[in-house]
Amino acid sequence: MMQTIFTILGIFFALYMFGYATFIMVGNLFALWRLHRNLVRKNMKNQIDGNISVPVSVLVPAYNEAETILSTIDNLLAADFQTYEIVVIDDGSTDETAKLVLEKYPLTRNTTPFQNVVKSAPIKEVYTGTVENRLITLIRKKNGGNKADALNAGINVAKYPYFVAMDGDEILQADALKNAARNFLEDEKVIAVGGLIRVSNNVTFRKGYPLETRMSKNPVISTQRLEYNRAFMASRVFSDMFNGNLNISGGFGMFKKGPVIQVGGYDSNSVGEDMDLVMRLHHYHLSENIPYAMRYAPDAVCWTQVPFTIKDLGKQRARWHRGLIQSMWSHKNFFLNFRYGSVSLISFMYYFLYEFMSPFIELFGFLFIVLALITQTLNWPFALLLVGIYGLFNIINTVIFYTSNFLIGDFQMYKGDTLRVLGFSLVDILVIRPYLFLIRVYATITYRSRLHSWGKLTRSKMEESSENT
Amino acid sequence: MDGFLSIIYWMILVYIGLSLIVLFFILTYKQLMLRKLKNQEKRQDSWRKFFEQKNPLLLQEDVERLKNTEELLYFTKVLQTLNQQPQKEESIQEFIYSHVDTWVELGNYYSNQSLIMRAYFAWGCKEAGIRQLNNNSEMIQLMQRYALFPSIYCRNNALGALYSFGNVDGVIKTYQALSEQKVTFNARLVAAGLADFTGDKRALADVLYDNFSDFGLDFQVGIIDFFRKNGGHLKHQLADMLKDPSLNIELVCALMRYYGKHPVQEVKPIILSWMSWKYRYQWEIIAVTASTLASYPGEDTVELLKKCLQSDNWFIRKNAAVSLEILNEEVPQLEAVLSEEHPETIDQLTYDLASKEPV
Repeated sequence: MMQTIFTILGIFFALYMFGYATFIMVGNLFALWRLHRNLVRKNMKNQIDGNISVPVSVLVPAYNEAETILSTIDNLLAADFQTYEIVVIDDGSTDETAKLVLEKYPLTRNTTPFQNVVKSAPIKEVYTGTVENRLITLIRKKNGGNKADALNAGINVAKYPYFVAMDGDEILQADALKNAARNFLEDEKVIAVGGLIRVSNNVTFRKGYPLETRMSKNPVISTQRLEYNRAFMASRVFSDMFNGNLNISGGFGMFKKGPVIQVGGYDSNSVGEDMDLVMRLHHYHLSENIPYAMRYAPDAVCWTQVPFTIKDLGKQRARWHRGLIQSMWSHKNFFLNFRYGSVSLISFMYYFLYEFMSPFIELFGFLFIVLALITQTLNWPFALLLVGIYGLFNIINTVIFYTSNFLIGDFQMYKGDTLRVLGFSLVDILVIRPYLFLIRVYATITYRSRLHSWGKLTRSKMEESSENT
Repeated sequence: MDGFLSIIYWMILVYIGLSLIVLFFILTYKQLMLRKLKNQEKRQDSWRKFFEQKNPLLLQEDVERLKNTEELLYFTKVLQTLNQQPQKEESIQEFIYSHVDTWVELGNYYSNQSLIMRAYFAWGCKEAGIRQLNNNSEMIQLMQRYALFPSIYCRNNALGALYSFGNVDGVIKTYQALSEQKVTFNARLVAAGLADFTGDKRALADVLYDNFSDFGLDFQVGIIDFFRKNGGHLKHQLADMLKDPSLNIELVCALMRYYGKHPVQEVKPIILSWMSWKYRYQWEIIAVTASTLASYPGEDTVELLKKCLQSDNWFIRKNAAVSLEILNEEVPQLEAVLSEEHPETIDQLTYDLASKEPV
């Protein structure tokens, strides 16, 4: 009996690992092919671009972002894009975020009424001004508890029919808006476009473009850099092929305002507001049989600061995991629902098995191994071999995605980068992933008690190059 | 179970093998791309040599080549370059006319490809500069079909091709089809596109006017803007539109701009009626009318413009001041208003999607 149970469980875990490896393999192959085709077609797109563009409101929610808000705005002013405005939403900051913005840019108080099309906490003041022919708006509002509320306030004040949601500690690459907006012009069904998030720690910038992109010596930062590569370039590009992206990162997403308003804007109670919005958009359009598309633009790049201490990384990932649990539970109607097609059967099931259920399955797997060892039913040399080649498979694919960054634009490989990638991949497998597994278990256990707890993450100023033109 | 695990083990080894092959390709990609780039120059050269022939003729194998996007890219680049050389233009036009069936065949092929490829094909047709096609030409029907695809790039390029064909009927029927399907299109793009029309613009203006009610609002506004430069002869006919007090605000503004450029004194009372109190919440109408009145001197004009100088709205004040200056009126606060800087305000910018009803 015990033997049978062990056999069944062993097969289950082996299939679980194999399923993940298959998803990675298939996803990678399709993604790389797609990126290659995108590179070839970029030439075509540059030809037919003409002067057509869409006007965009860039929403920058900011809560205590005094360290980074001014460089974020300055970089936005350098964006290579025809028509856009910058809307900074100071979400009741207790630091000098608003003061710094008002001191640096010539903004004056504006009392023009606007329409509250989506719910948000009360807006106290609005300031506007023009810098380099760009309208900058600063909204000062009562803290709504999370980013979703701030974004809703931004949507209410924004003047254009398209908006970008980003974070206050990011640098939008100068061509990001243009590369994202093209997708709306290419296909009228497109209602949202996600961009590529890259790690800005240890990167210097000049006029909205990265100058030096060396890998950091800090393993916490570098392992995240590799992880972002894998997640964005593989999974998102692959999911894009069947309109199955379940998440347009809150770090950079461009949306048509109409459909977002149609589904009620961001949910102020949601911790994972980005995923929640995307799933509601999927649900609405699939239920109403409205043709739509949500695209992923790997050449629309946004650079973000990632936590550089293991503790802060844990805080961030715990919050993300709680947000994921909340979103998955709120949209449980996507579970094996044939009506929703590949969005449900591939994307949602992948998230369900390998994100939502992973703390349980991995914990159970760990206990299973311990029990199997104790009862001497585990062929441990073979098990070690299997784990070893599985780890090797992961490392090779991490190297593939790091080295294929040039498929999405200018990318520099520095001397020693390949060795560093190999080294940090090992650190990722042996240290970071087990740590994050524990964090996910912790986040699941403390889901109810700490759902809306944000925690304070340490920030650093972003590095600007002092080189002359 | 060992057997099963062995299968998994070997599958993962296969995956590792595949991954290593992919990694090899990635590492040699740049070299492969460099070789492809050299090859690209050769392929582009082969099309240049093709056009150097006395009577170049596209064979079926060439047509099959052109069903590859990259080949189409090289071909169109060469065609575009040659089209810009005056001494080559005539021979290129002859070449294009003699291959209309081929373009249609390619067009039908690309109409089943991705939207970006369709947009590119339409762009190629626009750049080819085909002129003077007759009403029944399949090229016109092809571009009409392309204009209806759900892509702004594709639509804009297909319309661009239709404008370059110079066929009035082609443009009208496309606008009607788009309007019937309630497709919106930027009015400025409409006006700019019509300005690029290579055929008889006056004839185009007349037919656009005759079929005006068939078009959606965006097209109507763009058409009125086109009339401003190429429809001066319609100034008496268009006045009837301005008499309708329920006319859409954007059309009113477009017509006001038209009558600013083509003043008709008989229309002045209608223009003045739009400065009435009942339009006080539609500041755009007041502002544009204030600008238009510069072409309609008279005491009544001056009185109304002086009132506008007291407006809360910067645009109304500014336009009225500029008009008074053009009319050489001396008003005490004129200098002050003229020297006002553009306010840092969003009073003109509250973009209310809810008010944008579908046509």
